[in-house]
Amino acid sequence: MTGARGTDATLRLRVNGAALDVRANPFDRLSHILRNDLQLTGLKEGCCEGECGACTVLMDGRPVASCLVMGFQAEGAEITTVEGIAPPGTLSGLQAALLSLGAVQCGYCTPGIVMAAEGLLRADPAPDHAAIRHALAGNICRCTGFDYIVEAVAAEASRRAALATGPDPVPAC
Amino acid sequence: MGQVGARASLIDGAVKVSGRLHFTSDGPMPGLAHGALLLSPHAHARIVSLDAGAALAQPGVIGVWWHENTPQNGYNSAIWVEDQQLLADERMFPPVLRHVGDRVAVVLAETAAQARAAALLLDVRYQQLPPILSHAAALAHLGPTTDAGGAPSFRNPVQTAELDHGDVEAGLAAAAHVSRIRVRTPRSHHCAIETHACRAWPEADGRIAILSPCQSVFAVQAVVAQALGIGAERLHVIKAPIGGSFGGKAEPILDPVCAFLALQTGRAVQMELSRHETFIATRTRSAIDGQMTIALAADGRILARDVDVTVDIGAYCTGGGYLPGSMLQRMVRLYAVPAERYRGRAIYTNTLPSGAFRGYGSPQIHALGEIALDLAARDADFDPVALRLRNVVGPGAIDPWQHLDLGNARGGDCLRRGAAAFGWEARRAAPAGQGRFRRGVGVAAATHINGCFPGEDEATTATLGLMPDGRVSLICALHDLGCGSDTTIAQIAAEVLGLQLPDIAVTTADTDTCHYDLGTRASRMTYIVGEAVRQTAEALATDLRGAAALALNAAPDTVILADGRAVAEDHAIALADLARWLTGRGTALPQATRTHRATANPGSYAAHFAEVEVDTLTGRVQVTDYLAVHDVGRAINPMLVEGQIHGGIQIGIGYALYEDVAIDPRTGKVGGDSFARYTIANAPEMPSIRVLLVEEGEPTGPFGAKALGEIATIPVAPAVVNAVNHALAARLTDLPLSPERVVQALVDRARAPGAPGAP
Amino acid sequence: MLSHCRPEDLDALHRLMSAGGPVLPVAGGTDLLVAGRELPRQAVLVDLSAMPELQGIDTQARDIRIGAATTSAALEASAGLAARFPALVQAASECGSVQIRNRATIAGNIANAAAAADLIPPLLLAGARVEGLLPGGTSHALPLEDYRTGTGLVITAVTLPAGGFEPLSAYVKLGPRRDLTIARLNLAATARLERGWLAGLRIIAGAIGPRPIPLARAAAALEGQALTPDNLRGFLDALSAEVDAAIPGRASQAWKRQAIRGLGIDLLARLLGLSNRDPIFEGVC
Repeated sequence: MTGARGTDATLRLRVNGAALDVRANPFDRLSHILRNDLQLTGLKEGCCEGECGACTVLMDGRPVASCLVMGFQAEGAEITTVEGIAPPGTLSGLQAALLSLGAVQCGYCTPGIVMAAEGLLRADPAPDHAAIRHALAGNICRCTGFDYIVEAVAAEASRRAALATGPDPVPAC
Repeated sequence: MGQVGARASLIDGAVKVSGRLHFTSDGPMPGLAHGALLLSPHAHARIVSLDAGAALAQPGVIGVWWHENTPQNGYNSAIWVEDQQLLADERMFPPVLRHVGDRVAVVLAETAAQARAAALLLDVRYQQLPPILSHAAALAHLGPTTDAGGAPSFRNPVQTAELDHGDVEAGLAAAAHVSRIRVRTPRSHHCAIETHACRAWPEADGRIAILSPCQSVFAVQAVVAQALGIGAERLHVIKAPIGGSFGGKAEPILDPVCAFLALQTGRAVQMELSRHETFIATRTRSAIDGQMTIALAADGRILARDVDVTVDIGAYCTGGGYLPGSMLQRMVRLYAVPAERYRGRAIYTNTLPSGAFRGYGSPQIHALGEIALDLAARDADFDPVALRLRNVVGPGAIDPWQHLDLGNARGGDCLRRGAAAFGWEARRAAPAGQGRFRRGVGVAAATHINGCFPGEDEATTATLGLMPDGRVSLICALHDLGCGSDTTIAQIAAEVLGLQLPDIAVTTADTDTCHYDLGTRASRMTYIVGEAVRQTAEALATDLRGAAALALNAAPDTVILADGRAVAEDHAIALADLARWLTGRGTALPQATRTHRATANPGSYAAHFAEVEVDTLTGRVQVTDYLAVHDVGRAINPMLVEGQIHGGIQIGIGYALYEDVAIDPRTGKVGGDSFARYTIANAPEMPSIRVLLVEEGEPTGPFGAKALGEIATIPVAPAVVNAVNHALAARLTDLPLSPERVVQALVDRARAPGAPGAP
Repeated sequence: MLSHCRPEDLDALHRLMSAGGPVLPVAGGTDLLVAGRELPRQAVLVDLSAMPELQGIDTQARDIRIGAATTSAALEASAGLAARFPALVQAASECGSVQIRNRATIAGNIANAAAAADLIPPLLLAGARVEGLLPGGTSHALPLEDYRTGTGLVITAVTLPAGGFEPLSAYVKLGPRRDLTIARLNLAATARLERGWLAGLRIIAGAIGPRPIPLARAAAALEGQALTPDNLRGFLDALSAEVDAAIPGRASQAWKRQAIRGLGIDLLARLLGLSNRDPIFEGVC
């Protein structure tokens, strides 16, 4: 949301498994570059100060606020956005749980919640409710009151534990 | 069948959860230019000069507009029809700025970064004028709201509302207990995660299209037409998916400017506010300063209430002028009170304008009424639940102001069932503790309206038609604000037509295609629009049964619609086959249009129960348990109903404990102007929540359903405040209950004469 | 002109510094990019996050050594640090959200020097030393308490000298929320237990003034004392007196002088591995 100084350069990024040469301002926020230059508009910019979490992506598997990463700092890292979580037309188990348990309302914060929760489940496969709330403290949702989000993440953790495998894509409903 | 009462997922949920839904600023659009605003740094100032030279010289800059080169039509962003009589005191770019965050100028450039950078280069000289920042100063600035020529004078009061019902003096005289309580509520901000955004572009036929995350496409059309001084027929408004509104996007803020730029330049234009701009340049929930005197009989009956409310509506009238009246309307529908006096007034100040925010005055007046009633209960030694049960209205009650039947009003059931499920009596009697951490429980009841009757012609028209593929199209002014109303409405249609949700093709609101309607406001979506769709679906069902009877060679009254088929005893035809059969015979496909015009406005009711723990040293309050009981008539989709309630509690806990736009009383600058400085309840602050639904059916609602969206947040703050006051045996009445206020109350009490350990 | 580089090792950073131009070091970048703050027009942004030598926490040696670009998340996850100086681990775990902790670094917290910074009070308490390169490439090391912004020092490592802290340490903070909250008050303490009593107790408070301040009087109130209700009350009174002395007449004084009593109990509880609801604290509020 603020203008970046500097001139465009070629950034070598790895996004959702693909190596990309992106012509962009290296000082621009990664969130801008992903949205504006790569049309990965699943991530949202809700504040550009790292408070709302709508722009959360995984950087080398860990959730970060992409609004607080400069484009050139993302070079060399593996970036995963919500578009890279499940193939088009499918939902990950986590996404399916969020949807079917009523954890999605307006949907604007949802991609960021998906990425923060995915990061949590990769780091801690069996979080209790307090751990889930702590892990989501950087994501603002103004619609749901968080209760069903917490339940959906817990349900997905249980499902993965039962499968003892990673997230399997399931068909979108 | 089986749709009403189903915990169905959102019909647009898969695209949301996968991030593939295009919100206003997401979709690709070639040649898009970007506008950026310059906002006033002063609470009250005249623009002496504006030099755009440096900005215009920047690369990519297309133009700069301010009061000297833009239409200066007065408008009101809260109107929903063109000729609505509301003070038209706002301008796109006024020569005199009336609040910090008022619009000075707009820069249009090829990129958003260029526009923002250039806006900082605008050389503006301001002559500062004395601002009005206190209620006292505002109430001294008296006079008619327009001058002889009809121009806005910005004098107070903007509007008043009064009620004199019964003999208040007699009630006070006869009372066994009289309590007088003052409650002040803060301004609060919606904090939708999507900031305000808008796109506008010229269409081939010369009109301007506006893509807006709005609550009424027709309101956008009316406001933009008024602001630009052009005919509404030149504007084509399309409702965009909306990343949260809560009333914050009810009034078009960017739309007039965005449409103006598109009209002026012939370009497709996008405007998107930053978070900071959304905080200082949109709308807030108004702050109130209220006093309530409550006269109680020895048996707990409320004999009289005397209420005085000053509503700070900020720099422009918007819909704020309606607030004293809407507060009164909500106040008198909860308890049966034989004598009421109400004096409400809306005042201008040089602060952020107010607007709709989930309840339109109801959270404020309930904060006053329910905190005051709790303290009155304490003064008279009544149990708060018992006192409310003694006075709450029942089914068929008539309100004393508009004389409306309140319908199947089940507030009493909410209180009784809630008290039992919460274990109220035992928990209320449990000691708060003597140590650092004190526990308390609180209750609050609430009511809210169902639509705009009788103030407006409360009507909605829907069209449902069989499509060639066997699905059914639904055309209506649908404005889903993210809470799933499209899904609920589709469930109603599917229930009647024996279909599944994917069989209903929902068309979102668009001024070119949908019937006129008031939009999503006043908790009217399920109750009014849902009933319109139900009636229309019944009409279509009749036609479908008739057509199927021909196809099946059966009597129409033997045909039922179920599982996507028309079934007559042992014959059945899928609707897709029926559509083929009809088109094959050259017969038009059945279609029905009905208008539902409401002639009732029943009350929705709720009772909320909160448990809190207060840290008496730090002043921090944690909500540790929460139960919400709601009289919803009938839950069309219990999962979405519960989700609405959960979200309402998050906003309400923030209102009680954290949230404050915090305008500096000396400078008018906004303190809570970012998520770092405007604290809301995040996941760790939220308790787990239990919800109980009272489903006794409202005869005038679709399948018995009543409104829920706004009432979900209305009782929350008083329930939490009452619990804190219970825990501390305190009388905290200024919201939010910040740690400072809690600690100050305890320190003051310790110092009070006669207190143990007092100096 | 704004430009950037990502040195791959210390030598490369040294060469860059030796050239003498103005550099703006950036590691996580979480403070630099907050909305509304402008990047400088002219600078070389030197990203320190790609240098392996600036990563990692060595707690095996006598002195604890932490690379400048170590993230809060890495501090939070360090078992070695938790065993020797838990206050820093606790501070790191309360630093912003997980999204911030995965990017924000120890050097960034020091260099931005916010009054409410989470890591600085425990680092000051431990007598931390800051190592880095000055413009021109000269190595330089100094105590954290002497560190000032604006000298051009590019921090490369932070060391906690053995003997600078006691076996027990703790950090607590108080903000508007539980998580993701800017401290309105924070406390760090270190001490050892002698015959069940606290000894060598030192306390530092942040967010009271522009820089963290030592609370010597409060520490003295408990030094070598049994945790009796009278002594605890004396400790809490001393904390309030410290606030009164630090911010007399400030709008926040009335609240902070009271709130620090609660936070002081939280600090002691954490230092001693007790709940802040332990009976030992009853009767002192």
